Amino acid sequence: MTTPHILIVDADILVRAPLADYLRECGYLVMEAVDSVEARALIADKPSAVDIVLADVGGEERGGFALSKWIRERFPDIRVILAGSIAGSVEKAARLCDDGPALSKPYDHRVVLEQIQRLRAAGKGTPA
Amino acid sequence: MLPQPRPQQGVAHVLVAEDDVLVRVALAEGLRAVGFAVIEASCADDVLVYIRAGGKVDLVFSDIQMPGVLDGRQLAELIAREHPGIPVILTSGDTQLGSSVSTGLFVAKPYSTAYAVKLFRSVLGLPPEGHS
Repeated sequence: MTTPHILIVDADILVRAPLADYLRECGYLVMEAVDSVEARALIADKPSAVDIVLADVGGEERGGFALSKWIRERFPDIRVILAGSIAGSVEKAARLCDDGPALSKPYDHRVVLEQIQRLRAAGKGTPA
Repeated sequence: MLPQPRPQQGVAHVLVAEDDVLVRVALAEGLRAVGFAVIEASCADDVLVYIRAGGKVDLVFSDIQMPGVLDGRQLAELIAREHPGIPVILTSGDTQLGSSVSTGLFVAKPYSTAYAVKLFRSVLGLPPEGHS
């Protein structure tokens, strides 16, 4: 099975970098974006290089939600996991995101890993 | 069964600060491919946040012009003052900016990943690639 490529979108370097390191140590290929603008640039540059997007919804003004919508409309094969620390945002994410459940922040790295594994087991996030 | 994390031991940690995400990711992936651990930042401010939080950094490679409060030159001066053991290499497409660099080394853009790898290994006192 090909190793999935995961794109983490989070403005906080103290959150993003340790999570990215953890997932790399688990064998995943991980790219990092600080916001939805960077995420869109990376995805548009190489859509086939991204299988799963883990996006924070709290950093920008609805940036994570808009990014999720943009991805679903243009790249339906890319799966999206939304995450946030604000209860309302997380609930909204859970309703919007069919790859849920949405993740609460601060991240529990093991929970992130389990969610990625669930998507893989369901055949999502696995390149054909 | 979940995959188990396998922390890398004894690798050099390079912090790459670059606001062009395509440039940053390409360099970061190239550096990881040859064994560096890479931390990515999109502005100089985040570099300081990471270092001041105690994140392990052996070398900083930073663009000079980026969004945020600090530019690369100010970042180099602050690191030299607060963490003199961390070497800083600055980069820019504007060679006139390069001539104004007083702290740290300067690399003009565009640069190749191979050149960056060779330079970083040299600055960190590591043997050239292919030598152990």
